[in-house]
Amino acid sequence: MTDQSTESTVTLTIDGRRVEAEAGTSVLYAALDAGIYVPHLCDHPDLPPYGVCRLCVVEIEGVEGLPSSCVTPVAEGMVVQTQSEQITQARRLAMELLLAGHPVDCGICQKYLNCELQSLKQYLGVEESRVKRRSKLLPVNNSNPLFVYDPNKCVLCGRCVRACWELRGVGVLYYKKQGKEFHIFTREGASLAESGCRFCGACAEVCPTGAIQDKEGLIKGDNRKAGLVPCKSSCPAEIDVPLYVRLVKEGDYPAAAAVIREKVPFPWVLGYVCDHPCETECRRGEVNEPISIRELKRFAAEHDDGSLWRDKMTPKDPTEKRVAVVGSGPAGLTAAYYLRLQGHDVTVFESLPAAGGMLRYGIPEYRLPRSVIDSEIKEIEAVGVKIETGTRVESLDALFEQGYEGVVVALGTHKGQKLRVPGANSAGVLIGTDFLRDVNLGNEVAVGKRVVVLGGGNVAFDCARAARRMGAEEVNMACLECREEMPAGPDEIREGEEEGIVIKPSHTSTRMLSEDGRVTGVEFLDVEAFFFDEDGAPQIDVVEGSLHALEADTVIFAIGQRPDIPEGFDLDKTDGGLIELDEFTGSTSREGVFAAGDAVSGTASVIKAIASGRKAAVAMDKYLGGSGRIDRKVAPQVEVPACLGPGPGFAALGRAADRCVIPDDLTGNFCEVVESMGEDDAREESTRCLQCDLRLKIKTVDFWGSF
Amino acid sequence: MDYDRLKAEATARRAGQEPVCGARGAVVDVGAFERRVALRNLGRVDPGSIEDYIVTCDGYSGLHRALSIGREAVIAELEKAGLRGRGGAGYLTALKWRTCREAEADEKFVVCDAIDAHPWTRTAQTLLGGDPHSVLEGLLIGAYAVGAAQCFLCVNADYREQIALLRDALDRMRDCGLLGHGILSSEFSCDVEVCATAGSLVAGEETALIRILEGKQALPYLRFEYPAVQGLHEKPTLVNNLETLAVVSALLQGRAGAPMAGDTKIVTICGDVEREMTVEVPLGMSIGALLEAAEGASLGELGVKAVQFGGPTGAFFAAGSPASGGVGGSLDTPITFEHIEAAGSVMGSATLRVVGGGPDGVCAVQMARDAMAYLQEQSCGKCTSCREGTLQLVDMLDDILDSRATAEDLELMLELCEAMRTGSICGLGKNAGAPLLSALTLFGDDFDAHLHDGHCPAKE
Repeated sequence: MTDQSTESTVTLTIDGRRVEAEAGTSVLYAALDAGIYVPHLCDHPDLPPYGVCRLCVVEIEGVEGLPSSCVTPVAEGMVVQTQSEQITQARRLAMELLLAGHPVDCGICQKYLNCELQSLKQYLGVEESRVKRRSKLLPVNNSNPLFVYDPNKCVLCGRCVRACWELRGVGVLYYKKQGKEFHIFTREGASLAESGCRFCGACAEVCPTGAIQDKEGLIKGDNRKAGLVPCKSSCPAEIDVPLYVRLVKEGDYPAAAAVIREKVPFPWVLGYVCDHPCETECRRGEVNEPISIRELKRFAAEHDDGSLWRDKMTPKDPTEKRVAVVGSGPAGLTAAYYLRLQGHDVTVFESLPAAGGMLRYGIPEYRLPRSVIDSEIKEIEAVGVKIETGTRVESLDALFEQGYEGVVVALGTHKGQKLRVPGANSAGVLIGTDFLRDVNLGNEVAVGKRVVVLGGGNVAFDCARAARRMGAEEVNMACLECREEMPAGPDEIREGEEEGIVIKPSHTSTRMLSEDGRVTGVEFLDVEAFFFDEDGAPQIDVVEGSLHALEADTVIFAIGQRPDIPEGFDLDKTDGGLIELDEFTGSTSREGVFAAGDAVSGTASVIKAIASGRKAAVAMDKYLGGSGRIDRKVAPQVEVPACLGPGPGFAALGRAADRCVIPDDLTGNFCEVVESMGEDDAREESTRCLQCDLRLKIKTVDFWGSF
Repeated sequence: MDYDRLKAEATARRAGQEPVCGARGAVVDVGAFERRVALRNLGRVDPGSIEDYIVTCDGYSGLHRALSIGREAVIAELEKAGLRGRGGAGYLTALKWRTCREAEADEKFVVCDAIDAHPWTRTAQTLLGGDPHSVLEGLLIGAYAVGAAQCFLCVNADYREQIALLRDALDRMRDCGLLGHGILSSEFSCDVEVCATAGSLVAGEETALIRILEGKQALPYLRFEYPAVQGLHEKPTLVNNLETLAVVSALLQGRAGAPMAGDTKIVTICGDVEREMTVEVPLGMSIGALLEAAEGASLGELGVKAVQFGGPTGAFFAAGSPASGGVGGSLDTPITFEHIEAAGSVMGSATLRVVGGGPDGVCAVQMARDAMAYLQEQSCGKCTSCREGTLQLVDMLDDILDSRATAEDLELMLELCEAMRTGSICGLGKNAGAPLLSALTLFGDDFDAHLHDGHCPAKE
């Protein structure tokens, strides 16, 4: 900007005060940094100075007129006045001109009280206007995804245009004229998507008025900043999704894996089975389809050499405290892993023959290869977590007697249930969890040719698809919910149907038909409406006269599970039979006993179990005198460039193709059904990311109230 | 190919050509009042024949001379001639060139403005249509002097014929070794690209023109450095109007004549006149005298109410001698940078737009309103003062026309003009108040008639 070198410091006088500023700084920032407020609108700390709003005018000795302080560099010995009669008059006229076409009704604007223009108007006390006010009467543009543009509220400060061109290098927004009025629009008036917009949100972020806003309802929760990056904020374990997606894009896969490792010890498992709330919330989904985040996680895990985290994720000095964890599912092992890293001596007790809990004994192998579970458990054992399999804990007292100072109970929800309908105890009527456990243990399972699965969640699909693999030729799935409201994930539903599962939504079973004590079918009524009443009790309206039956030689109930908590644990439980936790301490009703996973939450998801395990580890560590700080920065810190570059065709980039491969003959075939993503596909998929997190790096402008 | 061989070959080729003389733009007879430097070859050269230019106009002898005397000597010649930029601002060309030459960079550019951004200008149309090579020669001399290897010639996209002529000329130049590597067997290498550029008032602002070349919207920018130091793609960029470059080639060819080449200006006479014309006149001639000489009639006969000089942001000039200090001036004002500036106006495109109908034929409020409405239409919208100021002023002038305004409104109008002058980035906004202010100075009675008596003087 000037000839002076950037290292040198300049001394100037502002309002009689001696102020020092770096050479090249504008008079505006020299004043603001010195705590002297100068009103300004078009200027933004992340954007090049513009000098168009004329609110930041000042008087400078020896300079004619009123220069805009935002575009005037400081100079040695400069004498600046930020307040005078003449300045006030010029600022007021400038504000009157800005407001001439701006709506008057601030109270009904979404931006009310967060609006820079409103704040400036109050600061300058501009209530009356000498210039004529008018309504622009331009139509609000609601046709683009994510953002709404109201040209009537736009004061043409040019921040969005600069953000689009100069901060992001995208170059989509232009000044356009409609009749006598200006507005900001794409060059040819095409949609943002067609114009090469990257939907980074910088325009909305820098807009000082309510002209460009995020569409209502898209920013969830009270924390606006978190809401802007919903993939991260919706992740129960708070994994930094945009960061690892970016690292995949840059080809640094070990770093991507390290980012995931900072929050969870099961990246690879999650890459297979996470129910990915992040994808549901992904803002790219508003543009076309969400990023295939889970597949990218799997890709990162598959291309991880451990070089960035393995050396750093090692136990702290021993604390000499012993902790027992009951249950080796994702919740238990996660708690064990982090407690071990905190320096405690951790032993996990597992009643079944191998560790993994529902990962191993609930989820069938075609969805999650056993080698993946083994590999991640091996890493947990490698830091010194001891796992005693085939050991059922019946009493917590016994553990305390053995010298454990704390216990984490994470025994899952392994107890399935049947409906209390006639015939439910006939031979051939099975419970889903038991069925899956037997299948996964390799026990002999008697599955007939015609199977009916009752339930509509992921476990029901696991049962149905496992049944197909165990030789069933015809599998019907009946659930209370209508198709749109089935709790199972869309992938499960699609893949299940590809495997020949017939879904019968809106069905309620009234009894099991049987002959000689063996089930022969299920009798149903069609459901008109299924809902929960005010007390949360399920209500079913049936269709009169819709009674019908499906033939079956095997019926599997997959209608929910409960924890199987031994009496000897002596823990307070909720009405639903779950372990009760103290809201604040995370402790159970017994001192030194914490709990995590499905046993606390009811049957949920792997990622929720892991998140719960993390919480239990924090609570336990604090209980044992530790800091409770279990997070470690292991991923390399990367400087993220603000510039994205032009994005022609960006919006149209489609989600990576589904890699589900269903074998022709399912019988006995438990091979994985979703293939790994190739490197090219992964890089391409990651480039689709909108990088919503970049928006958080944009500075906010301080209102005059903070001066 | 060296210059001698170029000339010899051109002579041989030209022998077989049927010269098509005459400008392809507006053909004008040379008036006695004219002095042609930039337009020296107009009507005398076949614009489609590089050979004609080389053989009959000493074409490219200026470039040849420049290459032999060296960069600094070229700039010294411009300095000695006192050449001022013909784009309108009148900045000393040699200073600009030297700044660019001394700027250190791995790459430099030359940009030639041939857009005729002002709506009534015909300079580019005339010059490029009648004698493209004297511009191209000047362009190459500029590139050589500052050390640039790439030139962009921005031509109004509506000038299709001229663009075709230029592209053809560039092909011929390439054939003759006047473009590309080792021009005229020297170390100098350079290329020229013709850029068809959408014409608009802001496109005439050099910062906006640079943005256009960068693929961005034509918006003027505040600059912290001259484009000659930091311009196109942040590289030193020499931006010159084509008229300046045509004078440069004349100077280097030694054809500018006495006393100095800096002393002429191409002007276009338009508006309420019998003949619209583009001519080159010696500086110092008064607006009125030029009008009378060019149109061959007295001002009275011509029925002039006022002349807007310098383009859409130019002030009005009228008969009589208005009070000094205000914006606007007498028709006796000599056309020089200093005199025009003293009248609160700009040389700009040096157009004389005649508002006819005699002293009472048209209302000055209407005149000012129409001028402001055009500027409102052309405002790029970037600066608040200009965007809103022009809009508000059109509205207020309409109020005056409808006799709905008060003296207080007049005060606010003056304040808005001042806000535009001090608060706008580019010349359009800075000078947007000039037509209105000069109308007020010159025709205060017309305003008073509306404000106080509620009637329009032109409708009596």
